[in-house]
Amino acid sequence: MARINQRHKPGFVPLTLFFILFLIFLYGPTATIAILSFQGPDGGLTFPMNGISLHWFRQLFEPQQVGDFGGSLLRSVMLGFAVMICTAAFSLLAGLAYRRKFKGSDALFYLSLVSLILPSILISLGIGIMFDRLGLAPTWYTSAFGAHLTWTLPFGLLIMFAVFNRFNRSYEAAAMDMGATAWQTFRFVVFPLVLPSLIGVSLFGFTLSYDEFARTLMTSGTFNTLPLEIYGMTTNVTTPVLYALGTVTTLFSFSLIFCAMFAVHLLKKHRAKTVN
Amino acid sequence: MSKGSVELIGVSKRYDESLAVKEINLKIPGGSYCCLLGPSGCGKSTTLRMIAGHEAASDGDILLNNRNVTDLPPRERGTALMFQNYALFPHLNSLDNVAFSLKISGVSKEERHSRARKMLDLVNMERFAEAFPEQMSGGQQQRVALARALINEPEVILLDEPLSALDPFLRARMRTELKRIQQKLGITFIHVTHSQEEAFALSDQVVVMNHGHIEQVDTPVGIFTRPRTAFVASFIGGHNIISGKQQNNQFSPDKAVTIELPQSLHSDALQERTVSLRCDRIRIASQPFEGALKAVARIEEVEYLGSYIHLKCQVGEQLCLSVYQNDADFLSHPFAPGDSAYLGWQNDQLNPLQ
Repeated sequence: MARINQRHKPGFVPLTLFFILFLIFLYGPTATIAILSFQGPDGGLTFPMNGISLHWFRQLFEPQQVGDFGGSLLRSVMLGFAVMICTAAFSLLAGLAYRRKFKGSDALFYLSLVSLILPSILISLGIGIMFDRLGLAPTWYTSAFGAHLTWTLPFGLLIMFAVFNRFNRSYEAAAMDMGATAWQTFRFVVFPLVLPSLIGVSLFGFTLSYDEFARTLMTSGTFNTLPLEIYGMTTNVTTPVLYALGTVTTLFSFSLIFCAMFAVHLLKKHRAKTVN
Repeated sequence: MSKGSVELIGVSKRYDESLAVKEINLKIPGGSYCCLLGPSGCGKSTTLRMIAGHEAASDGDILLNNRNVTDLPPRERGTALMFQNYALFPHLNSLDNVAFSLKISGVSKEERHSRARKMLDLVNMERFAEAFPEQMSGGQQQRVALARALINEPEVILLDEPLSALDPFLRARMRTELKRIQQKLGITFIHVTHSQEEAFALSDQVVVMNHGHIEQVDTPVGIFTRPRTAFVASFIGGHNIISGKQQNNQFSPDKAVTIELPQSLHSDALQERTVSLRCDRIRIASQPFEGALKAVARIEEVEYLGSYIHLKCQVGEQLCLSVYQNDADFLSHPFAPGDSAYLGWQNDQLNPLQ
């Protein structure tokens, strides 16, 4: 038996090589941009590196001729948070609603899935036109906010479906048996138990909104969100500031993920400590 | 009836077309230990859940302390249900699990924790007050679940197969523990199980159920010595069920076998008759003896089970009897498959079945 374990199956080497290629394809561009963002002051958009500096990061936070990095980042973060909160709240409520069949539940479910299937750019265009017809000016906090929700809500809903499918109903029955009202059962049992999943839905909602391009394109109005700004800069900016921007935004996303993971880790450690 | 009495009057449970519980009538005295015993799907869990209020009765009335609770929600009944998989809240430690019902009724943190600690003490789990359910074994979780059920001082505790998830050693230990706590508190325990051993060891009253109705209600001794139906006799085990034709005192389960029935079962007319006969009340010997069957039995199978030996014997063509022989007799004269043997019993051991 030991022999079988030592020897690889015939496909092992080619498949491993293929997987490595895939990893390079996946992370190569990001790594390249990260490296190029440390280009010296006299360096250009391509290799070779002309020295190493933080010059372009400093440049990033100074007023640019084209591109308002600080403003667009702030808008994207605020929009992301608003979308995150709405997604979490409505996904939770919808998940609870769908635990029992109600009239028209199937129709409503398919209707909400339609916006996942439709091309994003069409939805963006539609919302843009609708605002125009209604004589409203599209802005990032109205029309773009709605456009992002058409994207994040169905995802959040699907996740909450999965969560409640696995939810053991005997916890609720036990709470009821001990005299809890429906609200107390939700407040002290159901909510704490689905909270980790809800945090997941929130993070998901935030990241989906934070990097959403197509659905913002026709709906953001005068001021750009970050993805639109970056896109605008790729066509206008010809310095490594663009790369510094890429690096900073990537780091921002990573730090969000690490914060979440660290919080979970702390929570687990706290539990382990209370026991021993 | 004393505190904690339960009475079911014509209670039924209908699911769409099928009847899960069929018009059962049952009285459980307060402060007693009652086991609902039966195979899976016999309606025992449904009955328990109807008493708890987690399942609505389709028909009939449920009385607790002579108060009709049929339409009351669980929390207004004075019962506490212990769930099959305990349903301890995974996000709370033992102490908070036990204190949960006090928390929702607004008892201060200090008081509810001190009362919860007392309950954990009762089930010998005070050392695990801070442990979360996932950090405890099945037996420990069960003790915590019991403490949680007890903290509201219910008059009736309902236990849904509480020991089925435990390994055999732990099961026997928890069984003793349940009985100890029930006797200490003097409240009514209604316990659903499919194990006759569990039911016999714990109960003051055993309720044997099958296909949604009650087959027999009696003490463990009554159930075992006088099973009322063939189902009860076969479900509790250790009984032979013998069917045949009877006229006068003569009962023949097989052409070649005639058994004499006790005078109490006398019947002039020719009729069908089914009786049960305990396996451990059959005497077996290699030589004929006074009162033995005329027909010779052939040993078909021999199973060594420690304190006794299970011998499967064929008498005539249709009568197959299981005999439990004690190990001392077996070891002094071991039977082997294919051997001939003589069987006999006191005829008052024949118990009529309906």
